[in-house]
Amino acid sequence: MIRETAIEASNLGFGYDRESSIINSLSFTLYRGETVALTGPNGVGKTTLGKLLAGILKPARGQVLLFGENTRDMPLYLMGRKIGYSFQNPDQQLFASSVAEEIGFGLKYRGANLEHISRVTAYLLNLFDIEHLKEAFPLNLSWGEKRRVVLAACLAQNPEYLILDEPTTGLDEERIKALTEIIASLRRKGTGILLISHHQTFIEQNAERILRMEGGEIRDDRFF
Amino acid sequence: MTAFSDLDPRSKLLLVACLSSGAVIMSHWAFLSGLLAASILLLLLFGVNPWDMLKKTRVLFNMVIFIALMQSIFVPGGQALLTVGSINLLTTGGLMMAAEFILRMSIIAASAGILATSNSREIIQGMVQCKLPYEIAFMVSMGIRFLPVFAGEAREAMTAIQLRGVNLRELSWRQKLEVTASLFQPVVAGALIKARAISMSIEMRAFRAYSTRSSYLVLTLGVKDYVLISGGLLLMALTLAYYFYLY
Repeated sequence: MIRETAIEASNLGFGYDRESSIINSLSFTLYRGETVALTGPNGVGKTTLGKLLAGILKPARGQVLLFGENTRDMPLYLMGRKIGYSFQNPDQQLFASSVAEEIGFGLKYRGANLEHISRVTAYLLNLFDIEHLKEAFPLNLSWGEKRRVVLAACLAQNPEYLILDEPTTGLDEERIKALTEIIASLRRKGTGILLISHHQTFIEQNAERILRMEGGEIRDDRFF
Repeated sequence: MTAFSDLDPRSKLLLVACLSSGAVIMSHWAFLSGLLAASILLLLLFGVNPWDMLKKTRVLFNMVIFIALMQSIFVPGGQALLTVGSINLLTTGGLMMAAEFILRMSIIAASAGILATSNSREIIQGMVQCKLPYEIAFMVSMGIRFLPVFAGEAREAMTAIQLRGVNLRELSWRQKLEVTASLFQPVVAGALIKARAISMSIEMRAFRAYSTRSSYLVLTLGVKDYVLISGGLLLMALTLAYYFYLY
């Protein structure tokens, strides 16, 4: 079966300063409809790689092609229309005054009509079991609740690819099970997903391919 | 590292007090420009690249410019430069006020940059040796440490907004104002939440458990400190005298 390429990284290199490099000459391809887990010890550059793929960081060397377009030439808002990115720390991406506004924010300022925004927001509030929090101030929520709000806000954009950095942190077993079901339905829809995670059971349940990072390089790329 | 990097934090505090007080007291673009030039010179003297600093606080600086422009619209004065109907949108007085606001904020940001060349422990010790109560000194140093955090949070909020696919250039002015308000929300709320968490955390580590504190670190003023302190005070006194009596 020929799979459509979603993200293609070639000879990717990056360092936060000129002296050291955290990502060294990485080359790999991620496909549409595929769920990939990115694992490895702390500090090997998993989050940095995720941010490079999402266009939040620009590569120092090499390039990232997102659906054939070089991310170097794409402004962040265009990346945001194609990729949904959930940060490791949900506090970094919550800025609205209520949960409902947080979820509908992107749609509102991209010109969607009110009826569509209300419908999508109501659906996602229900999907992530946060209906009772819709008027709450996002930054006052618990870690697990914030995580669910961020995931809902990402999905509201209907992204073609999703990068989730440690999505299970702060979620109880029931919520992790619910997230597994959501991931399965997204995969059926053809959305590609990159899971940056240490949660072994979650990875085994969701990923069909594992990329293991070590020392800024991909040491293992294996399919289940 | 420059020859002035190891200056006593009390010297830096005094210079910063001179600069920031001058920025508040004086309200003329020429004087404020002079103060900003002095702040930049001091930054360079302490080994801080002002350009790098500007890049790091770009989002905050953009906000300052935005507020200044809004201010210039709502506080008109002088000759009208741009008029829509009977409303003066841009006036010479308004623009001058905006320029003064930007200069003032830049001086305050540069002052924070000067203080950031000493670590928080040294700053607290400097204030305590200036006979300021330890609790107040600690709060001030926490405030200084919060400045880069605010800038970082505003930057993160901007990234998060763009990641939702929002192109700021496509938005109307009303929408731009709404989005800008969204940038302030995590900064203000984050500051309150962090302040609450930090106060709880330091209380749990027995902060203020005893009425007095001893200190291993004791600061001493050197020749460079005396030269810079006396030079700074003299220059400031002369500038203020010129501003109030001769100008």
